Amino acid sequence: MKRRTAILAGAAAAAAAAGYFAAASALGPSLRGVVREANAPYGRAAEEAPGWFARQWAGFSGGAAAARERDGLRAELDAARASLLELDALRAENAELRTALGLAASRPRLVPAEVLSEGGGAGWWRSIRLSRGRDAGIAPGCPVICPEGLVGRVVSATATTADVLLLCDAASQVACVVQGRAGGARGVLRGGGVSRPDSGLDLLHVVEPLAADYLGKDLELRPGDRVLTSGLGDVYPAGIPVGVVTSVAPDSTHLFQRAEVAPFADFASLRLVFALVPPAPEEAGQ
Amino acid sequence: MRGRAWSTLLVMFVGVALAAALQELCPPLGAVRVKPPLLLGAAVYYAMRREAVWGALAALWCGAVENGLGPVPGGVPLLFFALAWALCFHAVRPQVEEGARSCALAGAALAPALQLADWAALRVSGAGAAVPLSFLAGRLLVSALAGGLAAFAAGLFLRGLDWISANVGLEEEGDAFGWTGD
Repeated sequence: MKRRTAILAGAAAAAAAAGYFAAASALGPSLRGVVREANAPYGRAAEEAPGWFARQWAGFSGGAAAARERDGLRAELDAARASLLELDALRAENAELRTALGLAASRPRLVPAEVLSEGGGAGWWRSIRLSRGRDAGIAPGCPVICPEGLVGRVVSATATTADVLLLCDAASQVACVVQGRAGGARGVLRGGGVSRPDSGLDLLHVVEPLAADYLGKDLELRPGDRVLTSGLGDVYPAGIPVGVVTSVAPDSTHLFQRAEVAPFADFASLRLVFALVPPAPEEAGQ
Repeated sequence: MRGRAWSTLLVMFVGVALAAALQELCPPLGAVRVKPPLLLGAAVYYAMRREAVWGALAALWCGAVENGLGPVPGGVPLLFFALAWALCFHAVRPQVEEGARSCALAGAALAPALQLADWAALRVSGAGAAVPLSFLAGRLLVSALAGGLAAFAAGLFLRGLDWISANVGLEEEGDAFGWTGD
């Protein structure tokens, strides 16, 4: 009798656990959306507060410096406007040529977004949370860049937030090309994550540089060579600057070369980034 | 009594919202990237120092928010917070002197356990394969320190709010902020 009760209790507990995990998996994305969007305004306020105080302080203390900066910015704006005219002409020419060749538009839209927080709520991955999400067209898989170069890719998105896995995370992989003097060497760039010390304090983890693997051994590569996305794999468009080679050595198999790469983006000070969103259907049809 | 319930709910709402915002906005600590477990600290305060119903409600609320903020799948943080409440309320609380220090000790013990539960869930889902064991060990150590501090700070803050809102009275307290226990 006791055995039957125990079996029934065990079965009931197993069914309850299965039901719980099934319900949690089904409701998880909705819960995530609600919680992250409820938390987003605090992030926006925290992001905007330092800038607001800095502007107020600059207004009080730095009138002359602000005027000089304004004049410099005006000059830059004029130059940018001139470039824009040239770009408009090139864009029109590009659209005409694409139409003539029967190609669909492939130029992604740049969606600016502010960085709300780093590491999400738990900090397991090297990631950032952005202030814009699905409402702005950002979806999982979208590449994210900053003015210096590639930042990472979107791994999850709610209506108004998006999580980006940074290039430097150990789980990140990018198809890349190293621009050597004699030509480009294709490879796979991995985030370094943290070192795995054999001994010593576990706290003393060092963030490792990025590593480009499977580079052809016959190509001459040197420190200082630029690394760009290769466009293979359909995740990142070709030609986005990623970093610069700091060292090159044969890998453990001696069949390929392995390069250490310093990224152009400064992941510690990211504030404003741009998500590359696929063109809208009407744009693509042009 | 009804007024006190609304007031307790209001304090809990402020506490959970603030803990969630600060936990997300604080940069990760050190190379092992531990976030200060303030939601766990808030749940520990309600489990260790308030009535059963408030403890259970806070555990579910904080667990759901922790679940939503982090990458861990399958409702594991929510389940962990519920089990942590049961453990604190039924097993730990009768054995220790009530006060902020007991909350800190419970936080220091539960924060690494939460990291382990998260890691196990990430491993099962396949996402945790990139996490080296040495990194996990570092996280456990740092999260124990951070958990103790977070539970201590969250306990003091929420006890202060509860006292100001007259949700707990001086006759129930050793002092105004519950430093010395009941």
